[in-house]
Amino acid sequence: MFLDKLRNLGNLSESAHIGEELLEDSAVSALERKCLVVKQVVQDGDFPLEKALSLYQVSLKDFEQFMAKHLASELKLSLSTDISNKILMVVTIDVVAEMYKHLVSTIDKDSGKIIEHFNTLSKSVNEGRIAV
Amino acid sequence: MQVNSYSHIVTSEEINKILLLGYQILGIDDDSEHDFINRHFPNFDLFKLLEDINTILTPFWSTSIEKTVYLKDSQPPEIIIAFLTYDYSYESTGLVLVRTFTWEQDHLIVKHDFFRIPVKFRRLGIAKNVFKVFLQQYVNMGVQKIKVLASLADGGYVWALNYFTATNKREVEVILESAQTRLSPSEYGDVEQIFNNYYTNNPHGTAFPIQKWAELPFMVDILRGSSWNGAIDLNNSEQFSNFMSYVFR
Repeated sequence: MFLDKLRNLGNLSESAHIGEELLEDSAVSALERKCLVVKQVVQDGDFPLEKALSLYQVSLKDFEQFMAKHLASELKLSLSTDISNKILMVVTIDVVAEMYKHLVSTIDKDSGKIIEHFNTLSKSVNEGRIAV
Repeated sequence: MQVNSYSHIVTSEEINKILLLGYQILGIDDDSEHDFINRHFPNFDLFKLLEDINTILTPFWSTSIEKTVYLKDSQPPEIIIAFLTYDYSYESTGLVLVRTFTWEQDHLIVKHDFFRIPVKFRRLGIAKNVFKVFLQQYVNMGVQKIKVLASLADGGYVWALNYFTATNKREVEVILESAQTRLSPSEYGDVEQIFNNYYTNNPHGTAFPIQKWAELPFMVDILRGSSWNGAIDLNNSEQFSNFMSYVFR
């Protein structure tokens, strides 16, 4: 009887409206989903970045914002939740400064000033002169 | 959303509590239901799952729902969990929810066989809540793959957007062939590039990232009419993380 009922349903298939609901209830926008795909196709070597942006109709600005948000969220996740907000902020500033050194400083003649600013900011937060 | 696993052993008391919740348990009727579940599907907190589903569905249905747990002592063993209203065969009014837990080559998988909510109860959060409580058990039990047939009424497009990957190369080729007849040479070239890149790097690949096609504006209509078998590999951290972050965040 029970198995007959299942057979009566014919070709079993999850309804599309269920998938639509999951997407609608998601806090992630359609643009963010597109940005993730751009990241994936570039990473997998399907297309270079410029071509991927044009194919998926994503602006460079939107993609940059997505990547910044994505990396920031990875950083937060990696630092876990067992440390105080102050230490979290200090480590975050130091990591951003190190990223800047690795990725940008070689082409920036003012890099010394930027790194110095990061150092001062990190020290001020650490010593409690800037509240977090 | 974070899902942490926990250990669980099903007891005969829990089986009785499941019956009291109004479920029928079929397939095995010699008071060894709990042994069957513990032996073949370790860490399955079946009572918790069924109690949670009851809590989710009860406020919406005044009429009774036929709730079944079918324990199939076959090779491989299966557990089918099904919820059917009396009008289950009517697309606009009937509720159908069917899930099958089974084994494939030593891997525990769950088939998302069928889930349809009546029109008047759609977009009220039922789908997401049902997914969540099942997902907790998938993590507990170490389910490797969630499988779905993406088909009918836009399913081929929607499940691709939900990060299911296409498992069968021939089905992907059929979609590619359809794209060749319907797209401009330039558009087709881009679609083919994604196909070639994946299968060149993964000649026996069973996880074609079809969401790369789904997000291309010119592929939407082609995928809406497509039919393919999909899966999410819960042991693949990227697939699992995409599904969790982008579907459940």
